[in-house]
Amino acid sequence: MRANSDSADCEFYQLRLYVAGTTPKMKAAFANLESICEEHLKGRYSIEVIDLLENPQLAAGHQIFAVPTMVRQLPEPIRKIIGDLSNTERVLVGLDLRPLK
Amino acid sequence: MTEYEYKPAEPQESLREIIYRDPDGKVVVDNKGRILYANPAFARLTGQNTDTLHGQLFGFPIIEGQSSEIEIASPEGGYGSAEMRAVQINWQGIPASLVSIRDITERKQAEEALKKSEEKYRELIENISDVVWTVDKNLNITYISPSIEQMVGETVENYMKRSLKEWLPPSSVEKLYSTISEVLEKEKDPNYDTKTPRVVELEHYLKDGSTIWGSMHVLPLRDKNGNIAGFQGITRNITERKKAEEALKLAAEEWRTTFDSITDMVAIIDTDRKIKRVNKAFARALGLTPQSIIGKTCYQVVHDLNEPHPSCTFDNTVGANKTCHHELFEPNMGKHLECAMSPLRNGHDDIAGVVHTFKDITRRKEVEAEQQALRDKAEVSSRLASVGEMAAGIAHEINNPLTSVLGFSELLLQEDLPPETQEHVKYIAEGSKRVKGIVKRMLTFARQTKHHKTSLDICELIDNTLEMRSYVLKTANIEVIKKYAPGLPCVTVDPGQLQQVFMNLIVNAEHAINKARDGGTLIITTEREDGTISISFTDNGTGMSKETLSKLFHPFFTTKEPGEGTGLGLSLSRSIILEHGGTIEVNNDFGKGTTFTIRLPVTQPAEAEKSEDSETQPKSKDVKPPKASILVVDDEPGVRDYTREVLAQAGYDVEVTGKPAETLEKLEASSYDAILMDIRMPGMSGKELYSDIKAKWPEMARRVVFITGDVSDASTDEFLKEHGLPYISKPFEQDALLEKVSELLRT
Repeated sequence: MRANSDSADCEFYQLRLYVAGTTPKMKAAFANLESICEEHLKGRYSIEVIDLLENPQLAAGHQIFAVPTMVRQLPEPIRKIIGDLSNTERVLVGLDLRPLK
Repeated sequence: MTEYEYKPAEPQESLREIIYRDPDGKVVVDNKGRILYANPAFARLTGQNTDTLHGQLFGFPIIEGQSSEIEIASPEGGYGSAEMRAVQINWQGIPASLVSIRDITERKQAEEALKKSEEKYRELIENISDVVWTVDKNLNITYISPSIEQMVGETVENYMKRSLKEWLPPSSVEKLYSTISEVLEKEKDPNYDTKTPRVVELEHYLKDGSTIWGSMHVLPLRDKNGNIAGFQGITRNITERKKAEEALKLAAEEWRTTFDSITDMVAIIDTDRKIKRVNKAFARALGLTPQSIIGKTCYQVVHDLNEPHPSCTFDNTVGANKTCHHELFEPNMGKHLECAMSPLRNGHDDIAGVVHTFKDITRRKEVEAEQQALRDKAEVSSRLASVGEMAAGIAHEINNPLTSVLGFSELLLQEDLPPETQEHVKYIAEGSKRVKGIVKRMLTFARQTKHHKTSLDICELIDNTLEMRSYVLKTANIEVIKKYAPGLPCVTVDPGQLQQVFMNLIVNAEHAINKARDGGTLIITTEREDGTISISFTDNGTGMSKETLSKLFHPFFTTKEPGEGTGLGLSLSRSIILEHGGTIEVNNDFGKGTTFTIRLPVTQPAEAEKSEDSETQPKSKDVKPPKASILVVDDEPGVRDYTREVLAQAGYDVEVTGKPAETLEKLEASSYDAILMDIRMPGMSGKELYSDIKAKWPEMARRVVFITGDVSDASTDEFLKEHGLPYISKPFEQDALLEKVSELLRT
């Protein structure tokens, strides 16, 4: 197991946010994600938003059970976080940026 | 962080059992979000097998404890709402999260629908200007819609701080309570529809203390047990409506008062001429109550007819859609009415009826008639004035030769003539006397324009009038019977005017008699009655019908054929008699005859003027004239010679001249005891000559007696009165001349 601090500091985060439509809840999830990334991953992240209402086939690859779901495609291994991303602590844990308490 | 090796694990029996049976979707995930266990409900939600789910990456639940809403991909496609919860558990020694997924799609939809509907109603309530409210039993406000701010100017918060009672004036609180008790009373009736609100109109305070009018719909509010917990209702601002109502009420009141204050009769009738409404004046004029009039036709009520009055303009008014006027005399009311009809249009501009007004113009008609009578009288007067002028001129012309005819025939009669000749001369003398009388009467009649009253014997005046009509009366075979009371006092009247009255009555009598038969009698009676003298003219003619009698003194009313009479005679006569302070009345026996009676006040002796006719003064024949010289100046040779003859026979020294200039020469030469001088002469008038004499010989001027042909001439009359000069009117008889001269010589 690598030390989180080393990799977390230099690795690029390729993130994908799966949503269903542009409901306020989905928009809130994106805003939450963006602000967390800006704070903790500034300059080394990308967020791709996939609207499954428009492109339902794109859900298959990652086996999306529910939306909003955020998938960390890079760095590997793939991580998945489910929910509105309003709980920053839990998001950071899900992204392996924080240890689980 | 503790690493562990993944392997499918058996759940603890008891926990697994719970999770397994849970109707909500349950899934146990490890820290990486991998599914350790999924229950059948979750499998159903996702449309997968529980077995295939194991090991799949579900995702790390970012929530803990509280719930979060997510969307779940349904097996049928699309997404449904779900509520997600997550708790950390120890799953067979592995730290894990137990995630619950509850499908809330339906609940969500219901919530959504509810929310929408709530929003709709809230919007409705908040946007309508009416105020929705609920109060408890003590009228404390438990809910008030935001529109209260718009209505009252107070925020919902502040409004609710006060009880509803405090927002209403005391009288309105009372009204509200009585409405509430009414509601409660009605509630006891099992048939009463409890959903029907009671409506009450109240005044409501504004924030600034002024008031508005509101209409409140009130319904009771019940608790679970059906007991009344308070009241609910809607209040609407009706101030504008109230104002409009007030204005309407005022307008109606104004209209009603105006309607009843109009002194003309006003009725509103419908298109069938039935009376819908009348004003007080209308009812009063007919002596009826408005109630008894309404519903009847106007012609029934006003004219007492069974069909419209022939001169009614109703059809015209309705047909032409314009105001029409007509005048009529209504015998039932004894009034002249001016009627106006104006169409009354309804909101669609159709004729709904007619406004019918009647103006009582009886007085106006009377005044008009009086004015007409005065105008006619004035016209007659002016006509008579010109006749008078002409008569005066003619009189002068006639009087000069008449003086000679009358004078010399008298002188001849004194001569010793053969009897036959004497008889012939007598005819000349009598004939000329009659001519003298006619001329005198003509002058009297003409002189009426002057309207001077004089004290006279009324019987003589009647005789004079009768004489003017004597020929006609005789040829019509009418016998005139005079019943004069002896010794009647004098009356002060205008002889010309009175003659006109008598003439009218005589002519009317003739007419009535002629209509009845050939010939008849006219009885003229004079009597003394207390302070008056009554003069009656009774004929045995046709008499008059009731209708004629009622209009007898109306101007222009005549029963004569056109051209025979103007219809002014009696009207004028009445005016003249009234002007003299007298009365005129008529007694009629239809078919048998008519009597007109005039009563005139008797003149007090002191008031009586001295008769102007000095010729009629008592004569003093026996006085022997003293020896005196007299100069006679007259351009008319006949008059000059006659005068000289009479005076010379009486023993005077008489000198004559026909020229005024010669008079002055004679006066230069000698003086005279009397000068008889014609007032009208060619070259120099008597007036000028008198002025010259007066200037040169003032003593001599006092001895002048004028001879006049026309005293009716105003300027002559004035001249004589101004200088206080004696005069003698042509034609004169010798006695009159001698009397005049001796009178002068006595002074």
